[in-house]
Amino acid sequence: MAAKPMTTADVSRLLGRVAFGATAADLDQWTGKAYADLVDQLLQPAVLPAPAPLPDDAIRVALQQNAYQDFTLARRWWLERMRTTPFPLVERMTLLWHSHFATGVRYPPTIGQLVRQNQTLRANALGSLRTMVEQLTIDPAMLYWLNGVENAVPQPNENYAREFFELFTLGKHPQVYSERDIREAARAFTGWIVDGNDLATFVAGRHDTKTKKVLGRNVANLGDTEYKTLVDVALAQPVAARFFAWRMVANLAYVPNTPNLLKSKDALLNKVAASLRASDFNVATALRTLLLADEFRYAPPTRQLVRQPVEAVVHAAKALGVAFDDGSFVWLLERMGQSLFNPVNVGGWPVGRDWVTPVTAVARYDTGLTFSSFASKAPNNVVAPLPAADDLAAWTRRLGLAGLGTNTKNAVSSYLRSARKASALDRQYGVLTLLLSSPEWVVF
Amino acid sequence: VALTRRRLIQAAGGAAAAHALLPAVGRVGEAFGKTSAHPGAAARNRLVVIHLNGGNDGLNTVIPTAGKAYDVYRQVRPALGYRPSQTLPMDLAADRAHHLGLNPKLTALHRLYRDGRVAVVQGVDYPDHSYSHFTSGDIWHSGEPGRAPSSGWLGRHLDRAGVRDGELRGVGIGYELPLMLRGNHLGGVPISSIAAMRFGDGVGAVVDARHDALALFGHHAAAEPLRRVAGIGARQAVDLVEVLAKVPPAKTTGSWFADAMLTGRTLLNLDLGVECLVLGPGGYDTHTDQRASHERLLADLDAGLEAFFLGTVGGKKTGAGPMSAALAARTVVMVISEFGRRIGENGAGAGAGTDHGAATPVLLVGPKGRIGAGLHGEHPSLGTTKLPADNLAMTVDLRRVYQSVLEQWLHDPDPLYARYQRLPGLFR
Repeated sequence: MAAKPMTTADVSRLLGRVAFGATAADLDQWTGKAYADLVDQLLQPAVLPAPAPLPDDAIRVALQQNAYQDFTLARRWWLERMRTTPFPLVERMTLLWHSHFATGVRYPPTIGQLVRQNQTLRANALGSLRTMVEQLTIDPAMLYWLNGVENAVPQPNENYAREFFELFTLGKHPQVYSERDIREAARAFTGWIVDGNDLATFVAGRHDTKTKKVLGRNVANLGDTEYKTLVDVALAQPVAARFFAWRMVANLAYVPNTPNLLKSKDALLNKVAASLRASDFNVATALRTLLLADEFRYAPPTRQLVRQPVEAVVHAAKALGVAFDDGSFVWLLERMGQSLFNPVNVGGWPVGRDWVTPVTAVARYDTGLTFSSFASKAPNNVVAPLPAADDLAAWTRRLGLAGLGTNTKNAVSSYLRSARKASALDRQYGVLTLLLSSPEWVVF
Repeated sequence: VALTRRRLIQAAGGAAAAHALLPAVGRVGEAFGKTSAHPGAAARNRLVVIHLNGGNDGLNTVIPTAGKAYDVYRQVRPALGYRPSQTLPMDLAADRAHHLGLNPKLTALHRLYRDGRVAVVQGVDYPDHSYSHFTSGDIWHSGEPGRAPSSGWLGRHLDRAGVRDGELRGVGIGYELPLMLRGNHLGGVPISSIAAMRFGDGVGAVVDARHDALALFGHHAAAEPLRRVAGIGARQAVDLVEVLAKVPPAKTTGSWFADAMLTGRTLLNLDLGVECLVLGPGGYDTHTDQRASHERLLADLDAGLEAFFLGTVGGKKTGAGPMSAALAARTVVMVISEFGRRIGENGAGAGAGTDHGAATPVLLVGPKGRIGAGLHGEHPSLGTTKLPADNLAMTVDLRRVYQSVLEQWLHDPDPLYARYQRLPGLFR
């Protein structure tokens, strides 16, 4: 079925879920083409030797080096990168891993450390999860965030060990590790600090050299490489691949209803998990499986994806050509509950319905107002003139949507009727604001 | 002139009429608690639950001050322990023999305690304790240990009460609806703050038309369930903004939590039908540097309780004034946390902290004469100086506390808890 040429709806939906949305140009370019070709194009960075540096890499490096750099600047930088990157799937997955390995600015971790961690997430975004987990275990931001720097003999701090199993590798559905495994793993992770140059350093005297027993395996003292054994031990558990597969399906397709991952009957989740296992946890391989699966491409209307606020905001910025030149959208995202580099808690951001509460609806509406005013006041920013207020087909195309449902069309028409005496600009403003709050925009 | 929803409501002379005229659009009156739509709402008791997110150190909240427990406490808490003279004594006549004191930062709570308005249930937990924030937090919210949580103990109450779509009976202060308020049917509604519940485009005919269209998204086809939820969220937003526009903006007290508590108090005062409020101040996961951070947290908790009940913060007026006698007679605040912390410290000196623990005290603050003032249940054992315990073990099952509150305060026991005996004397 993957060979079947794409409809506009296919293009809109695929890019809407995994690539910060389609632009009108994307719809023109890909409608009628092969679905698999677009998947290839999205996954391209995984097969290229190394993506060429982007113009904003200089900003990133400056942010990494400056511990107390402006928080807002870092957020704007990343949003702008999401908007302009030729590799949107890389940024989309970086965002996904940022939520999975959730770490927030607390001074420490500083914004510089967080941006450096962000680069680790990006470098492995489509790569090996094994490498990802290893690198994050001794990542300076993470060492501060989950108290790795306090984890030393004789009184280990078990904060990281617990979240390592629960949030990063195995989950709790079902819980396959015990409290004892956590305490033993904490001992294996002892010894790491962040030095004066902001680098992770192993201090042998802080490390517990006795043998530990974790998940039934004896872990002998290996000093500064012992943490890698722990990653092996965790990823060898059958539930590990399913846990990562759940994260990918829940963030890119729909929230699977599976109280017990080991007994899951969700076909898409099981395919992605099998792909992760077969590839030794290679993300690109698993993503290809996910994106090409019929369960993804032809998911029924009961299996849709609520987009995170960041995704919808970046999509609007792309479709309208509005750059993240100031902090307006950073603040609006905070009101919608999604501040980059500051996830709500160690468990990351929620998926699904929590993004469509009345609270987020008010902030989303205000975000639409702000886009409207940017789009109408800053013509230099706008890629093309806005459509006439009542040309709903042109609006739909402009926003990279495949179409609007009857109810949404009726709601917008009712507004246009009530506001028929308003200025043309006001009416355009109103339609755009409403469409950026519409169910078709929020849920893909 | 096209009639907007708002003008139609005004023209029709009230909410009930608007509902009759506009069944397809305006559920405002029915939905958001015009008093007329809620006979009896004003007379309901109110419950405010504060979940200290991260795992509050119960042992440094209600502190042993003498006897064997104190000997162990002093031994295992060299950096974090308080001397008896530093604590605020729990010296109601019936409590004296227990030799406990409140953390020195809880001065307002101590005043309320001496006034006979505070009950402390000791050693609350559930069987097969989990040390995970998420699992344990879910259990405290769902009140159903041992099974995957789908609803909250107050959400089920809202279900039984027959809460209607959009009715503002259970409110979570925050961006997300806490599990505690999720029903199997509808449950509660989250509100981040009153100030945030305003649209950026103000009022006027064109603006009203836009908001009316936004509310129309609430009729999205049921064939796309998540899009329908998104549409209903938009409609609820329009309704809520309209109701909350009547609330004057509050001055900040300088404490996020005290502000949130005053927001909660305003919602309770408005007579919108709000019955259950849930707040979740965070930061209690004190793995390191606990002395300074925990004192800051408890000072903030105390500021919130002081603002809520007394209208002051640190003895200074907030502009909100003391709670009305009518509201005070109908309001109970309950403070919980997903777990206490380990008995022993995990480091030394100022950097010392504590890891995830087990049983923890539950605090209830309410009207004098109704609240069973003082200590309830037994303090869990700290072990001996030779063999200190690692964790505080459960002496009271949390379901007994919940059932007491449901039965004796909200007058709606949960059939799930039929086997759990309520705590004698927690309410009078």
